[in-house]
Amino acid sequence: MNPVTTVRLSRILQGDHSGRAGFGSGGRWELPLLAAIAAFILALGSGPFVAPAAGWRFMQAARFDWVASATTAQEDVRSVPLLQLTEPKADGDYSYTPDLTEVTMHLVRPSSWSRYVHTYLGGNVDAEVSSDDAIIDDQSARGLHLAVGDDVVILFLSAAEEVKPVRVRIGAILASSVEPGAPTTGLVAITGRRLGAAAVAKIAPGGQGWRFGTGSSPPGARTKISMRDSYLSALVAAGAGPATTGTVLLGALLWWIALARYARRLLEHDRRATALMVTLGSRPKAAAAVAALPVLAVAGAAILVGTLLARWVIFTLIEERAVSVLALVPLGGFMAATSGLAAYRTYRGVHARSALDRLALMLMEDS
Amino acid sequence: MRATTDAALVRASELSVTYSTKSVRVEALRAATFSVLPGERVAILGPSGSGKSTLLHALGGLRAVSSGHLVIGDHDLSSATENDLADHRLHQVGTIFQQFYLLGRLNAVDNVAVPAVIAGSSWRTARARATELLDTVGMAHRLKHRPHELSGGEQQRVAIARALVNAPQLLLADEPTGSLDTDTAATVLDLLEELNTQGTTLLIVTHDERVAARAARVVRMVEGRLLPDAA
Repeated sequence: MNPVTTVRLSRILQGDHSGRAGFGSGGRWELPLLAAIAAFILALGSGPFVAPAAGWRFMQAARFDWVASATTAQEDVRSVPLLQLTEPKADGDYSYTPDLTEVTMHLVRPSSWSRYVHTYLGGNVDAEVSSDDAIIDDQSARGLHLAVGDDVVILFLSAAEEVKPVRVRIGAILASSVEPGAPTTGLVAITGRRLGAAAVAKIAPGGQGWRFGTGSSPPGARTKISMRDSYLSALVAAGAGPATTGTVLLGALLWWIALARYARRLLEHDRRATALMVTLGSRPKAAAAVAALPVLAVAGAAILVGTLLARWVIFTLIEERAVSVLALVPLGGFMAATSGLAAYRTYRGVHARSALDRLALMLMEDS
Repeated sequence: MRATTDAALVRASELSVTYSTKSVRVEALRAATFSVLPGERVAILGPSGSGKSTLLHALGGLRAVSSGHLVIGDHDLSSATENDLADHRLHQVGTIFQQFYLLGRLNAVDNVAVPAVIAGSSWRTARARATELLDTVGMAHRLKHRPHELSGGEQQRVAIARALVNAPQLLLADEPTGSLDTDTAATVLDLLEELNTQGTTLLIVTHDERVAARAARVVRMVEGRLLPDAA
């Protein structure tokens, strides 16, 4: 980082409002706006970050409901000989082994559901799907081998008997605790191209046939894939990769800068007012607490605005559905903790040592 | 120098104040003994650095005393806690500063009303009281003006009204005319004198002989020590 940038960053962190720090003279809305933007970035970035980190239960909390089930083949611990989509399991006790890079799927009774899987192993996924394509039916799909990077077209037959192809690419295969001869649970995550999103198939033992859609739909119901189901799945499939981590770190850095600047401003500008309030008879601790309250107020407002905005962007504009609040608990915890720390630092900054000593020094400096 | 008496409003005995900066320990006030009777108008006169402001800050509860005894009214400030000193500042004394120290975001009425609000009054009651006081100090035409819209003399008059809003027993003034021109200073001193004649005990800290000359009694200070009363 060049020296100029370093100096500017230092000024920003210190709340320098000289105008050369790139933030103007520090208007009334600057810091709340900065904090809200930071909260937005944090909320946006934390979606994929918290879900895999916190485990599959967060996925459940986020109401992922594209569910499949499967059992493992006795002869091949890495194969999934029977892939069925069925009702979601309530317990959802899933884990994953990210190093599993391929599965073998055997479709059963797809024709009865008018749903098919068509693989283009290495093929052109942007090609139009036509009736000439090798549609894999319940017979040819048996033993179908899928690996990360494979492109897949899934055909859905809507209620209006309209075939809707969905092209996806397998971005990750997350299968769990595969043991020979035993039913297992797992997760197949496939990132899609056509929808610009992704899908996650949660594999659970038992059940009958494919089923996509909400958990409340009866088996066999014809439902369409929704962006809302696939967006966070894509984020999860991406995992806490560099981009996601970088986004979260950027949001966290911005958040901390906003709070630090605001706390600094209070220390530099409101400490004098606080000292005057003490001069006029306000009790020092009470005055210091009053000075710290704006930090909490601004931080709280920023959390609210930023998070709601992020949720609105993600799940209204893109997904048409809100994510569970539970998925935002780690994010909120981080923000609340840092906000509390900034407020406490402000309080201590105003009340440090004896408020009277500080006040007396200020008065003597002015006299 | 007058010995402390039981009838005195201010009773200081062997009063010392020391403070430390990063590298220096300063004895700002050394074994000061004096008293002020109710209704008196006293000037503490001395050059810069003589400790007169420190004495005023100690009397005003703005600085804890290091040793000695200091009693104002019925309150012993020698062993007062932080909250005791806050209550003392709120109810017993009113302080006027050279730099006025008005709150820039508040208009004149609200600046005056703040101590009353801190004391527990509602804003409505406090503003009514503030308006009366501003009228008393000749600022009725500037009620809604903020400090930056007022002249130095007007700001000081607002500060005086603020110091009086909780009806203190003792009015402390630290170089109250130090930032004012001669005519404005005379007006402010007239006002303080008038308040004194109405019964408010007044203690003025100044380095200006002309200001001190308007006091009924002058106490001189040099290097943190009170000199024998020349009056």
